[in-house]
Amino acid sequence: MIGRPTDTPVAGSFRDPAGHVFSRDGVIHRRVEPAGAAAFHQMLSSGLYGALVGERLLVSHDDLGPDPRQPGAATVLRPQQIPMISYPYEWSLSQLRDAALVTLRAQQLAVRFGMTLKDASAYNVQFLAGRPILIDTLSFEPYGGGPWLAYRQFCQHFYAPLLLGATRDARLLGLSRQFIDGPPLGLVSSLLPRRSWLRPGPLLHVHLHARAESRWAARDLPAPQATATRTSRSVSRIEALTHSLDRAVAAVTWPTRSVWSDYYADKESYTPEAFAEKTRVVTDWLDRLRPSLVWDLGANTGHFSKLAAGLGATTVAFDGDAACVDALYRTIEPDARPTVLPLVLDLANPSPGLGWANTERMTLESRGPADLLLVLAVTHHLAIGNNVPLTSLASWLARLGRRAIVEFVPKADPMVAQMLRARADIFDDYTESGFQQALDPSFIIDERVPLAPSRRSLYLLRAR
Amino acid sequence: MRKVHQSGSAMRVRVCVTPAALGILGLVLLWEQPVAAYFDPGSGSLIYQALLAGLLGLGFTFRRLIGLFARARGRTAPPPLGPPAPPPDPPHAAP
Repeated sequence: MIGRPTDTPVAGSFRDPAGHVFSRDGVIHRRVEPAGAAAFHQMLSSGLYGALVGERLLVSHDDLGPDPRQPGAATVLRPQQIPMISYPYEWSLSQLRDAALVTLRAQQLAVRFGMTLKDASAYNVQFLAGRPILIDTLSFEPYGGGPWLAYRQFCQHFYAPLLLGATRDARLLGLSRQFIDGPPLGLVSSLLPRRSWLRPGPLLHVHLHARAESRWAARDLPAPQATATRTSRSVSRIEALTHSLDRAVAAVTWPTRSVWSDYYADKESYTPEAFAEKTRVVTDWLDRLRPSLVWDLGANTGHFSKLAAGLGATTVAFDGDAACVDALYRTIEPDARPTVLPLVLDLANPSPGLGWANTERMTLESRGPADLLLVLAVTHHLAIGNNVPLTSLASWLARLGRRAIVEFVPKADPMVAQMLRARADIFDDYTESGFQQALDPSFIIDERVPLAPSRRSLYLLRAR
Repeated sequence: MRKVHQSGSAMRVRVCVTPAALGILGLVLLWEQPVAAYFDPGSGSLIYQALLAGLLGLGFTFRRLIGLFARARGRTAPPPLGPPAPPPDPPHAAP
């Protein structure tokens, strides 16, 4: 007997009273509450929805109408699905910049259609087919004049961390992990170099903004008017502000370099024969398995991620090096389907559950499992570089993916020898037989292929 | 307001806008309030935005008028569609 689909509320969807997101048998839906119905219908009737979807700024949706399984909802929407949810603290600088520009463009369009973006949360942007896109259909409301209420949120979620990461160090984008509403402007202002005061974008939208915030935080504002009027002057002000932000975001630049970008060109890691063999075996297994979702853990330049995507898999390319991720993102052809989504991730400290009750933003694990993991040239970094026991590594991988292609790098490999050069070798179990024993409780070994002439080997694994 | 400080033979001009003056200006420029947000947009940020967007908006309007005037005189081609340039002076330099 087939049971009725179950609806599970999405934990992170509780802030906006206009609507809530829920999952029905793994498919994301959005209920429109009566409080958000008028704005939603105005977005449709004004032509804004068509313009946003036409420019690929907002996900499209099917309107399923009122649903007895969602009592009280004005209507239920089934939006375009996002294969992999990602968060701003997992994005590179280019991804954050593009997400910011999409948000600003949506606001510019909204104002032209008599509406406004009522929030500018970076969590409302996701990556679909290589491009950022807004996912919150209910973020638009009629513009009745007045300031852009999401101005500070935009600066905290997008501009300030982008500026800080580009000016100081891309790793500072990780501050968004600590500050779920974006790093406070005062903090960013204090961390930026003094010369940033001389540039209009940082001066206007971070430094002076931060000082105004702290100085006038307790000041009373005029009471909201019941019938505010939208005037050409108020529209001009909003447009001018948005264009100023747009120029400020576009003006942010950063140097591109990475210690890992030449990894595969490093002759100590692979001979051309070994690398060709590795590519051949991985391609063969990918072709045989035909996974629809691949997570490439430690993707580096994305060589194998692109192979997987080329064979039809939506592929997430994780790497701890923000510059590597940024370089890969820049090479991705927009609108290619399926595509590669590069994300910044420290495998030794993967994204945790964050926000209210630690459930507002999902852990890495709860966004899986992937159909297939690519774990190539990674085991030694975790087992030796981070002292992770091989059994623990195996059980973690088995929770992340249904299958895995794992490369074992032995102690005799030059990379491992280099890692052990300055430290005691306390890894007696780090042998190929020890690796196979550690896999046993979590995986079935389907195949093993040595990568001659290197001493590495590839394993095709199936989670128990 | 502008204050002039003299130090020895060198004269230094410093633009100094007091918080009170900025606050008054901000409240004057704070155009009509819309419906409230479902999150705290920040009082200080809203006042600052009123000030900033007011000044940016003036530049925006000024450039549009210049464009219209120039087109009416037939001296230049119509300006391209797209975002206008921001005003040349940041607000802290305004009197």
